[in-house]
Amino acid sequence: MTDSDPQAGAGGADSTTVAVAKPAPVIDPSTVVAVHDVHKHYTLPRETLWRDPTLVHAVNGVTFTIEKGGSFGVVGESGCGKSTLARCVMGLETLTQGSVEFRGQNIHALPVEELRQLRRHFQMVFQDPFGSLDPRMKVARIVAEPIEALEDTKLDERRARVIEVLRAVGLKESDTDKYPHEFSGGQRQRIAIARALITRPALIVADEPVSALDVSVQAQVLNLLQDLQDEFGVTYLLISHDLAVVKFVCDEVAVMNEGVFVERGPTEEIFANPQHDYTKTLLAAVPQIGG
Amino acid sequence: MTLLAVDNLTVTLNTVRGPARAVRNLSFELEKGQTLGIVGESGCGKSLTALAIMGLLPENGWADGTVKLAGENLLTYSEDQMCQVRGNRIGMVFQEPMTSLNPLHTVGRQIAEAMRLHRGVNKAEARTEVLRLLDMVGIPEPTKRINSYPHQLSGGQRQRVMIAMALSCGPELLIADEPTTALDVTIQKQILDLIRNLIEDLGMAMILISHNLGVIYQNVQDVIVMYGGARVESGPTHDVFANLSHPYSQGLFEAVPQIDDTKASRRRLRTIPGTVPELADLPAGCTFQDRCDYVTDACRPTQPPVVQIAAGHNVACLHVDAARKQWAAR
Repeated sequence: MTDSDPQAGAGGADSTTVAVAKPAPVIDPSTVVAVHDVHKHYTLPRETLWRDPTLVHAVNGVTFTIEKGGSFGVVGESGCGKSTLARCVMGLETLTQGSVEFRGQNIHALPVEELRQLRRHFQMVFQDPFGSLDPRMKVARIVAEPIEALEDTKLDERRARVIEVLRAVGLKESDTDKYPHEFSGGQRQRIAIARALITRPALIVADEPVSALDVSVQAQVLNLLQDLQDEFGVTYLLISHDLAVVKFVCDEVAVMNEGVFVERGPTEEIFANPQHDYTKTLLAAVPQIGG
Repeated sequence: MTLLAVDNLTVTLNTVRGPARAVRNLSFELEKGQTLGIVGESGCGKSLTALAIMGLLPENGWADGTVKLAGENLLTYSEDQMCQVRGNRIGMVFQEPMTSLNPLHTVGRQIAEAMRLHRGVNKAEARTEVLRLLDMVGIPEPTKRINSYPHQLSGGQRQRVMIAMALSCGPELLIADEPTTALDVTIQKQILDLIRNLIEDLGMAMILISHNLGVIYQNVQDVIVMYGGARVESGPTHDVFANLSHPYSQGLFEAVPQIDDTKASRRRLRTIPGTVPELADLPAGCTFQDRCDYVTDACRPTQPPVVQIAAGHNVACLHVDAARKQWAAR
């Protein structure tokens, strides 16, 4: 992991002279994401002039890798740092310490334009279906925006792909001419998932992708996530508070609390035989049918 | 003794696409001290049922039928009369503790408000009572917290404050609309345990509204499953879950991943095809017809008959026998 750092750094230096730098060679082709000792600290506003502002250690030393076609789940309660971790992996936050490598490239060391080009390969589905869609754009434009920005496609091909992904997430062709406010919260989240799918990315980082969906629709989307993985070998980093959802989608799971992974391992094993007290508490709190 | 009798309740909303019958001919009864769960997806009419009982329907909506609280029809009450009922005889806990508390007043003042209004207690008495309530709902250091503002409390503590407010006047009925949906699972468990214990101790009746089957299973004696504004299945909770009989209830159950499933056994979830229908153009007849595996022409023209399959366990479906056979063979 660490040996790619100098290369990524060199790529950064190149770009000052050459417009398009060659991407760093992939070290291990089967590893899609390698997260190494990531820390993210936020500074809170000063309470008084005479004391240093307090730091929040949102993510406090997290290391993991996801292999191609794998799905890695992070579960935890609100405030445990799981969403910050997702944003760090997406390169949406600067890191306090550590590195995130996507296919061997340290994304936090890449020049802006290269990172932008790389972004088509890793897309994100956000948590809030109300804040993540532009209210003044029609659905067709919202969903087409990533390919418009990152790829050179013709108008009719773009439209065909928009309709294809909308169908895949359970929306209709006629929905392309509607605005986000005409949809329910659940339908909006499906638009957001369609937008992430349209670039056919290698990695999808999904932050609570189904929490806002109705149960019957949630199942459709979870099946869709499985199908996409079977079909295209998409890799997932799934962030969720819902243990059953993570269990359904992921091969490997990490339980996060106060910025660190307290337990990590193959999903079946963690759920069948939790070792850490926090994992046990979390599992015991889930209301079950028949229990 | 029957505390609440809802008979033929229909809620109609005026929408841009015409009148939408958001709740259709719903009837149920609630005994004193009984707990009832209403489960369903968004748009099934579960929240509007609660709002209709409280007389809090949005301005474009109205209710027909009767809602009798201890024999008195609440739907004929004036706004002034309803103000005597709300917060006094019926307590409410809403989903979003952030938005249903006033950010400008201390929690102590907000809890005291209902008592000062309905019970006419003076400030000092109200304060003692608020401290007792805060202690009862498990807020540490009530003497300190009574002067806190909502933003100084965590989500779970805010929901405890909401519960304290709802219970302040000793209501006969508590309506909890998705009380834990915004909370973490560990906090959810604490809050539900708290509500369940308080209900038992105080002998209140409760209507618990949730989309979460597990929450319903663990917390109420009876359950109503709603779809498209209509009741599709109802009965004693454990009987209903042991013998799910309506195709929709079955589909809902199968659609939820369970943490005791193994990945090999459930590579795919069974889904209900299609989406929840628009309330403005609900089909005549069974509301579930467009998503149902058992649908025949007979389902389309008229509302399905209600079939009693066991004591108190009712299912509104023409093809309940086929659905039950299939379910048993699964």
